[in-house]
Amino acid sequence: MAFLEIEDLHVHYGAIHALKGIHIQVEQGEIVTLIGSNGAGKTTTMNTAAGLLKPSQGKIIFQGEDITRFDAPQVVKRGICLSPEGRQVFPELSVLENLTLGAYLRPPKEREETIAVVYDLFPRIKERMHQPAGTLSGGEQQMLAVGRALMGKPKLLMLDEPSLGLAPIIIQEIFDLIVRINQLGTTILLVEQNAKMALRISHRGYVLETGRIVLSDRAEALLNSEQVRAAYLGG
Amino acid sequence: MFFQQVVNGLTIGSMYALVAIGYTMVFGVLKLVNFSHGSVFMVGAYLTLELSLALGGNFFLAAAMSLVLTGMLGVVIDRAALRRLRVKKADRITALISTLGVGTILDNAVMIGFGSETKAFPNVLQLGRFTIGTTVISWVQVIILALALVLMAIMSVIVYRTQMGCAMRATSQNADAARLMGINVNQVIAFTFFIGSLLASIAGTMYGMYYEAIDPLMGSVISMKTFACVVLGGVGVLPGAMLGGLLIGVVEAVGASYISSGYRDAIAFAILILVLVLRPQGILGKKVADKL
Amino acid sequence: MKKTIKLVSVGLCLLLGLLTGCGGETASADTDGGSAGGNTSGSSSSGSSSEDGGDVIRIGFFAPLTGNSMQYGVSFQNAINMKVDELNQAGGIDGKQIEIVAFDDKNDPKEAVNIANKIVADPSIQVAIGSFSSSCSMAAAPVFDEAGILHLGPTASHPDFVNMGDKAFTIAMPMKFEGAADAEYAYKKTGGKDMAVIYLNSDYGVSHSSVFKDAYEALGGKVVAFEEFIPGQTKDFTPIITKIKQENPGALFVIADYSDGANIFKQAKNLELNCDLIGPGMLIKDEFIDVAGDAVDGLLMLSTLPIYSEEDRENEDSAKAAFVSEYQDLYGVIPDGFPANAYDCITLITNMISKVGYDAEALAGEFRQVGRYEGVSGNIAVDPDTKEVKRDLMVYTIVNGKYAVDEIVPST
Repeated sequence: MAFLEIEDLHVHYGAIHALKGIHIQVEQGEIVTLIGSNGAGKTTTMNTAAGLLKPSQGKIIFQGEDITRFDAPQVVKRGICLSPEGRQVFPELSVLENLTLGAYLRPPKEREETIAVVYDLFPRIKERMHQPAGTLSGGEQQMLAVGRALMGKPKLLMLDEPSLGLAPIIIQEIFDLIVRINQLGTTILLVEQNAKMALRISHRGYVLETGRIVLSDRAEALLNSEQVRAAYLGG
Repeated sequence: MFFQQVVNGLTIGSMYALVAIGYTMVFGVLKLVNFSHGSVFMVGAYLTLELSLALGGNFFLAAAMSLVLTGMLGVVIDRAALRRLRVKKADRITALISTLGVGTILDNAVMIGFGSETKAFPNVLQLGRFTIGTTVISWVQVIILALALVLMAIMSVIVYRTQMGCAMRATSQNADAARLMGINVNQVIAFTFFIGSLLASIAGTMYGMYYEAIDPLMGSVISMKTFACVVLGGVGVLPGAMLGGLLIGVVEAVGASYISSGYRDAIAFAILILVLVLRPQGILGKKVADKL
Repeated sequence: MKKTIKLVSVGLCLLLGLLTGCGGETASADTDGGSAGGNTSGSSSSGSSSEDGGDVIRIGFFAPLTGNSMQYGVSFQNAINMKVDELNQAGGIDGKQIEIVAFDDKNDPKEAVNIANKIVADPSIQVAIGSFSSSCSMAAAPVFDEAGILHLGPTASHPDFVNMGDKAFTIAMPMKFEGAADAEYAYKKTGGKDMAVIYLNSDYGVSHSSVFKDAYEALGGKVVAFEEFIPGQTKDFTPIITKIKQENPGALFVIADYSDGANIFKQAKNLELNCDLIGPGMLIKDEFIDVAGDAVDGLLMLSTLPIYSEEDRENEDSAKAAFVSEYQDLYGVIPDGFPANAYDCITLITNMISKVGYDAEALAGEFRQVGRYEGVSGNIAVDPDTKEVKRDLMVYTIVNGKYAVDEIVPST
């Protein structure tokens, strides 16, 4: 059994069949990337795994436990934290308050230590500790969102499109940080439109097209595949 | 006469503020105008009265029980009328209509249960009056204003200095992200309703004590106006509710005396419209960039 | 499956809405099958016949039965049902049972018009009694006039009411007489002091206050303040009272219902406005004394309708005593002037029906000839030409927490 096992997952939005039976596995310590174009179902997959959406069919198993029917707070308790699409920081709360909320379910004494780790990873947001999160730049908000997710000391960190809307230099910075986080021991499930950069730092990848997994392989293999190159890596 | 009218206005306004504080809490957290709030305020007053009679005149115990019962009523309203709409991701307007329905049900239930007549309400604070020049001020008026300030301060502490308060603010800014933090959003909302309704009960009891009379429609009369106070002061901003309440109260009193008593509401609403045109977020409201 | 359930429930709701929207309840002796009175299709479903000369006499009735004036409408209905049940048990009128087709107008003039339309669509109804407020009665009047139905408004005191149709009647004294009588009494009693008036913005309030003001000024008095308020808008009258206090009035006349009135007097006391206090009969309810407390010591209430107490049961011979005891035994409360008024209305109508039959034209003619009638609600004098009514003015005060008659001023 893999660390995270998504089995035959179907998700409907009303009559729309968004996910049509996908299978994804993540082993402990890996970085796994899910790539695909707009509307493929990447965010749906993340939100369902995080407990914000309920699947109509299929299973999600984490560390051997069936968490399919869990709602978000329960999922967080089990050790899965999501940095959602669009960052979704709390705009009127300060950076510090955002981070503190990330540790909502953790014991308060742990907080100081974890914050220190996060500030160490993201010195730029430390500078803005008391500023309202909504006043940060896109890149800083992304760092904050990731940092916030890390405050929950997750065993599995999920990142939905961390590169969205960011300048290439910042994207590089963020991806370097993701690698570092992984090296510190966190398993990572990544969803990205920027397939090239994502696959470069990943161990394995999946290609999602209109609700189905069409390819699944080691990241290098995907990077070199004709199909993937043509559809997702061109230009 | 002007000073007396200001005193009159501050009293009217403090009443509005007491009700508006509860209104703005729910509005702030849920972005929902709870049109049943006025009716809950009325129920709070009725509970205090009826319990007081049932307990043979023990007013303070009755008021305390009313606090808790009314708070629970708020939780029930959320659970019964609103939660399912959240689950189904219904439009905000559906929830709004639902609260209108709840308000009507409460109003009529009280009318049927207790009659539509106005009832005398005990005033345990017989503290008398004092005069400054030609202005007459009763001590109860001072207490009501002070109470509004104190409650506002307490609510601010809860919202800005406690874990639950932080969770409330997070929920109001982004409910899904709040869930991702592990916050039980339903619980946060239920708590908000509990507090809001508890405040309504306090307001209802104070209102009853001051005017020494209550009737089943006192809530709907005040509902629209206090909503206007909330909007005027800035939605979701606690001091805004207070400021909006006092301002509208004073405008009403001064307008009624210097312009026309028949048009007092119209004058107050005219000021509201004027302010909103110039500053749509209300006096103390923040300009919130629209989230995606 | 889900869709079908939705459709069915929506359909059921619509159906329920239609049924409940269609008029109210029938009261008293429901002789033929339980047709929910007030179907717009003229002849109601199986049972009651709808042609003249059928074996039921159907009389329309509308008043606020729910909402914030429900206590008045319900008391009207109680009195009417009491009389009708009494008559029906004695065999009805000429062997025909009487049926009251009742509607709830919620004190909303628009609703009153809807109801009037329903009533006139039913050819078996020749008489409609209602409503409570002048606004509702007057809104419905044109509909009845056009259909030739006799419209009897128990408390329609607006001066224009009886002119809205040649079959529009009332047993309430029109405001132009009542307001003038009030002004005359107030002027005499206070010795012509400067008068302040606070009145509610309704047809009743506006007409009462303006007639009063004109009459008071015609007598040589000064009205130094004339402030209106919109009922239901607020409980706080301190701004108006403060404004009035500036003018140093010697007397204050408050035209409001008992709830607003009590608040006004209490707040006037708190603001230390000291002057003579006068009010209309509308204030007279038990709750008024409860709520107003000592703020209304010395208040004089001018009413054309009586109020009753336990003592009124005593006088064996009078019809009044019989009314009071019967009402109290049946409904558990002592009646006041409002149900008494409604009682006189139904009594007059039923008396006339047994005299000239159930026909609007004939009844209208008979009503004009009433002359002076001694009802349980007081002495009523109907002018045969104008249909206007004059009544005695009763002055009430509060003594030991109860209402007591201070003086009776007979109508001229």
